[in-house]
Order: sequence, then C-alpha cells, then structure tokens
Amino acid sequence: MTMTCNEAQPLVWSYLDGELSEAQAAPLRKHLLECHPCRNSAQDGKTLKRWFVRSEAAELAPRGFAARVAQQAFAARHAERAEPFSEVDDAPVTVEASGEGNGEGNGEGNGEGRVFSFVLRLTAVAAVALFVLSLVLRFQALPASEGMRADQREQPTLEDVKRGLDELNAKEANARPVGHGGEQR
Amino acid sequence: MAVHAMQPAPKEDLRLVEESLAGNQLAFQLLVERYQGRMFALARHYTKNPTEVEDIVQDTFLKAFTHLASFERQSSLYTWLARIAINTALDFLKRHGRNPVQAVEDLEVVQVLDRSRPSGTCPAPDAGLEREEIARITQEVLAELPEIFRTVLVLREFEELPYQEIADILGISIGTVESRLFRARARFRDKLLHLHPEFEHGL
Repeated sequence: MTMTCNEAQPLVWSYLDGELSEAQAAPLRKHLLECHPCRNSAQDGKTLKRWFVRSEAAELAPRGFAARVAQQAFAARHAERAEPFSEVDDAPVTVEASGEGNGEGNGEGNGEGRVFSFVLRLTAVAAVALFVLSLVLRFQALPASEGMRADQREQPTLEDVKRGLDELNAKEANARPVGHGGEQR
Repeated sequence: MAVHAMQPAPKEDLRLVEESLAGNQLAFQLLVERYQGRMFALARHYTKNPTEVEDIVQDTFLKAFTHLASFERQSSLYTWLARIAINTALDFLKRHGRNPVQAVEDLEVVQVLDRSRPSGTCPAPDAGLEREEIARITQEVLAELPEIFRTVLVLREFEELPYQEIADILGISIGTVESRLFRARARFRDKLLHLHPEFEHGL
C-alpha cells in the first residue's frame, strides 16, 4: 500500500528526528523517492538542521568549578545539620558518614551553624522566661483586684437588711416636718 | 554529538549518587564534572552573561545535591539535571524581569503562518562559513525566539534528545513536543530570514 502526501507530511519531521520505527519509516522513504514536493519538504528540514552546530566554547566550565560547587554543597549540608529547627525532608539518609572528605572550608560553615543554633536556643529560653514572668505578675495582681468584684463580696444577711431599713425609716421620720403627722400606713 | 536516549542512569552515575548521599564530597565533585559541560551549554541558551550562566549552573547542582535522595534511579541523571537547570534558568529570567514566556498567546498566529508558508524555503548555511560563525548566527536567531520555542529546539537539535525525554523534562505530552517543535522550526526559519536576508538567495 502506497502512502499519500497527506499521510507522509506529518511524519517528515519525526522521520528526520529519528523518531519513527523501521516499519513506519520504510513506506515514508518509498513515498519520498516518488514524490517531489514531499522530498523537497524533507530536504528543507535537513537544511534547517544544518544550522544547529554548537560552538566549541559552549560546554566550557570555569576552572575549579566542580570542586567549588561540591564544597559549597557540603558546607551548606553541615550548616543545615547543625541547625536543630531546619527541615529534614530532603536530608540524605546516611548522614553519619558525612564527616569524611570534608575540606577546610567546611568547618567554617559548621561553626556558623553552631552560632546560629546557640542564638536560637537563647531566644527560646528568653521567650519561656518572659512567659513565666508574665504569669507570676498576673497571679500577684489577682488578690488586689478580687475585692473589686461584686460576686465575691460578703453577702448581707436578712437581719442586716432589716436593720438598714429601720435606720432609714428612723432618719426619714426625724427629718419630716412636725405638722405633717406620723407615718402613712 | 552523542545521542542521549531515554534510559536508566548508568551504573557509574548511580555509584556517584550513592557515594554523594553517603557524604563523599569527592564523589559529588566527580558527578558535577561529568555533567557541568552540558549544563553550561544549556544555561548559555538563556543568558549570555558569564556570571549569570555560572550562577544558574551552580544553583542547578546545589539544588540537585539538596534533592539527591529524591532522584529516581530509573530515569537518566541528565534528564533530571536538565529539568532543574531549565527551571532554574527560567526562574532567574523572571526574577530579573526578563519574562521567558512572552509569546505563548500567539501560538494560533504562528500556526496560521506555518500553514501559509510554502515548504522548501529554509536557507542553508553558506559553505564558506566557519563552524563558529554558524553557531553565532544560530544563537543570535535562537535568542530572538520565545523561550518555549527556544527550549524545545535546544533540547532536540543540540542535546539530540528523543521526544519522550523532552516531554519528561518539560512535563508535556509527546504530541505537544511535536507541535511545539514544528512551530519552533517555522519561527526559527522566519527569524533567520528576517535577521539575515542575505541567505535567502543563491545559497
């Protein structure tokens, strides 16, 4: 069965990119031999590909780059390990062997980590101390304010109320003018 | 240029990964040495500034080291590193206000242009041109392309990666790789003729 141009055209780039299996490529190759426009199309693709040549300098890396990056990676890892609050999601499993092969620069990163960790611990201790202090102050102030609360004051008895009322009546009677008579009951 | 087919990481890569994870700094250094050339070549497609290129590649390897434990052994280390490098480069461009995805919206326009263009019109590099001169012109044209087209062309034409591996790196389907490559090539051809009309005739 021969391939038509409509079937061949979409396969041309895949063919040039080496993406077709031999079973797919064979009928296309046959079509390209017979069809001038499709062959031109494939030739055009090949010409375009000739522009993609890499400069000789493209892959050059600065001298000592790998050593520098490796040193930095391990220094950062040691700083992370010294940091008790850091995330450990991506930490490698075999951390106990990581002391091997450290360069001199790693100690510096480690030291920075320890200082940072000490400052963090100090901050945490200070925060706890402040909290405790605030609690102590709060409880010390409590008795003074208790007296102000209506619900905790000493409740008056019925006798007290009666006595109070009698006193009020007596005062009222004394204050009333003589011409108005006694109590209105 | 070697063809880097989609395949599991070679034993040597796996050994270096394991030793790096076990705390062997020299093993990680060797891993960087193995792939630094290809990462520098990749990063140089996103910026011409040597300091910026170095920063991108350095960040790539530092990120790779941080997440080395999550590297899936059945994929190639290069694919994994290339994905990190491209993301790092794009983040870098965004951070510096150079929007890397400026022309996604005009895909339809490109498609119309593609279909209206007759085939067989790509100019060939002059036989008298030096390899470095061809490379310079190609870089000049690529730099003018929107990032999505540049990246897919770089991965296919320079890195010679199969469609499947490009799809894995970019997180897209093979069909999208094919259509994006088709558009990218049409854009490359147009831009080449626009920047260098001297190649249109007699070559």
